[in-house]
Amino acid sequence: MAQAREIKKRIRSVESTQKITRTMELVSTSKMKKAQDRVLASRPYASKLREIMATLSALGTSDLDHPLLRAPETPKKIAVFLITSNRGLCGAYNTNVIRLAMQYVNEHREKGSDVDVYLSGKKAISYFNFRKLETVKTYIEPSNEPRYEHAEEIGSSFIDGFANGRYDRVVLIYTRFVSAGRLQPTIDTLLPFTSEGEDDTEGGAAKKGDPLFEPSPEEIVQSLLPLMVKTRFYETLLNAQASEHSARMVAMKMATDNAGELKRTLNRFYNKERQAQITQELAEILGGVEALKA
Amino acid sequence: MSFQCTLVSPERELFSGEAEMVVVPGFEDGQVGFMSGHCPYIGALGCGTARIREAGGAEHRFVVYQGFVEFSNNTLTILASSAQKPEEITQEMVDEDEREIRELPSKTPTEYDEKQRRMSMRKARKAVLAAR
Repeated sequence: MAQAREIKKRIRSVESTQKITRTMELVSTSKMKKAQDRVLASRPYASKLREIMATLSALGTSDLDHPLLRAPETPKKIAVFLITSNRGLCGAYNTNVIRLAMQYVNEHREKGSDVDVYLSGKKAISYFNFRKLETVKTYIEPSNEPRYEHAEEIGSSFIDGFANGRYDRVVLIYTRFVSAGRLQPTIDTLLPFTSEGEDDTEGGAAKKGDPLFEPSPEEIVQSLLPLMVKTRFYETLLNAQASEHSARMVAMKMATDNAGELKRTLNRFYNKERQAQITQELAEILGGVEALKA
Repeated sequence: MSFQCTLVSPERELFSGEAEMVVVPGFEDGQVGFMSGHCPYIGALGCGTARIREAGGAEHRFVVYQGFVEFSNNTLTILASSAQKPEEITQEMVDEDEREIRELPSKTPTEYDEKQRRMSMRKARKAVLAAR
């Protein structure tokens, strides 16, 4: 009976694993929902900022050369900010985005640019530590629960670095949340600042009469630009967060399904084994009876 | 006579609805008030209390910290870098403000401005606490 008992034991262990993965799947689903809600909640602010920017550029005030707008032809010094998760069990989420980041870094280093790496999330940190690769600064908190303060703090350090010429370009490498099933590792340029996606507000910019400015439009643009950069950074953090939970949800769903599959196969083995045992015992008894008769 | 008013921070929308009168802390000093039919306006938002009086007469207060205000087409948008509802403000927040303000340097003009902003923020929070 030893063999059958072994199988029974394995079935039980698969069952308890399945229970865990199913719970994690449910937890990730609700966390993803929450993260998505936060992405949505950040939209009004960002779109209103863009609207004000559009109004200002309609007045022709954004032509001034703000330090955040200068775009060198060939960026020599690049800062890369890579966003991964703090926890594992989320499928290929971290692997994919880290691979993309390494590709980008190596490619630009071969071209002779200086690339500084900033990391967020324990997974990237341990990847870089294990390979003894150099990083400038690492963060853990923004991958836990991104708040605007994080974007504010890290964003300002990049804005300063860009404004004083330490970097010619700042890129964010993260996983974009396209839909619950589609996650896209993405490279976005944070700085120099480009105002893509502003054409849609062009119509709204043609408002009657010049608005009253307080302080002057130039000064408003000066403080508006850094704010827009930080907001974009914040949106990116939220996006990565939603992706992480979505990736974990999918990975855990697959694990749960796999466990179910495994359970079925093991059960079949167990039944076969049990049947074999019974047949054998019967044969032995019959054999015994025959022997007594003789 | 009322107009559409929204108050948003990067993290969420705090208020959206018809307002009769809105008073927000202005850039650097003073306050700016809005009523229906105000001329188009784009300005920087200061730190302090923003008051929104709804069309029905109910008044809401929010503590806001820097940002922008825009008024156009009878719609007011308040973009605050950070904003809280009165019920979210606790004694601990005020205490922490006190501590942080004490440690802030104020040697250069920018540092001084920052400190002034933090102080008006603390004042607004304190006032909200006292009013409760």
